[in-house]
Amino acid sequence: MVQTDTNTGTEWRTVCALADLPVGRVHAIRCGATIVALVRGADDQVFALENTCPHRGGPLAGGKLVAGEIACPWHGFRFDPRTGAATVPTPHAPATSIPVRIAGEDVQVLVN
Amino acid sequence: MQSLAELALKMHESVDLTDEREVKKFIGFTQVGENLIGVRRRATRLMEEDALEIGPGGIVTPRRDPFGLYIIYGGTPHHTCNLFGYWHINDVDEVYITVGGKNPDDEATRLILMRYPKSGERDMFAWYCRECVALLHCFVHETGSLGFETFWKAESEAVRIFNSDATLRRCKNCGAEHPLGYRFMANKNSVEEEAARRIW
Repeated sequence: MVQTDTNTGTEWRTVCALADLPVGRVHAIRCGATIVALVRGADDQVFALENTCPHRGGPLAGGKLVAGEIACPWHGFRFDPRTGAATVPTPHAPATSIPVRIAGEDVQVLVN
Repeated sequence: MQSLAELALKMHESVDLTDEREVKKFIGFTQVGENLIGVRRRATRLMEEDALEIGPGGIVTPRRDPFGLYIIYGGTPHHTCNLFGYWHINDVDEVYITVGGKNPDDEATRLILMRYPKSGERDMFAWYCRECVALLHCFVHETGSLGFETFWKAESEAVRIFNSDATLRRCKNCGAEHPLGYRFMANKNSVEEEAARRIW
């Protein structure tokens, strides 16, 4: 379901319920025609990265959390789920961060 | 674009493998035209499964064709056991041709060819957990901008940093401790670093 914010004109797609996202792992969640990598922090904040590692295109949503960072399953390069910034190695191109919001019990991802 | 056969011929023309003094010039890689060429010589038994890669399936021994030729594609972490004390990640492809002797203790020769790195292309010296394959530490060197002549100094610095900080060698995922790193050139290593060469 896509919801349009009448104040800003932005569109948000509901991708799952917050309760469907256990803390401490990376979730591969369908968002329209694509997959995004979602991480729920201990404070119930949720972060999303595009499912493409900037190193060699590995599927970040298939990775694991290492020290709170998303580790690509192909070569282990790590990214901060909050910003997409590369953490190991640095310097390195960032992963693309996608805005997320919590609407009631739902997790919504910005689609435009 | 050159075919693999053309690349192999180029190496054959560039290095006289019957001249030991000539071969020594290529031990640490030498620029030939737009390429870098390296030569390794070790016992056949040591060459057979000494090269490892990390990919979607974890740590694997690369498949070789019957002529001992294989390619390490750019971006792929690769490690040669007991020779390089780190995982090397570079932005260019490396072509390996290994010709072994008849018996396990006969000397084998490996030719390594890669394009000279362009500006913006980098070398990385990385360490992965030996238990869970999490990336522990990675040193980035701008080889393309700085020139390949800076590579070995960067290698030395990367190993020094990794070995001087125990927190870098402790896996944040599973807690396993990684052995020390070591440099390719034995005379650049401490006794402890050379001992690590025998481990991995």
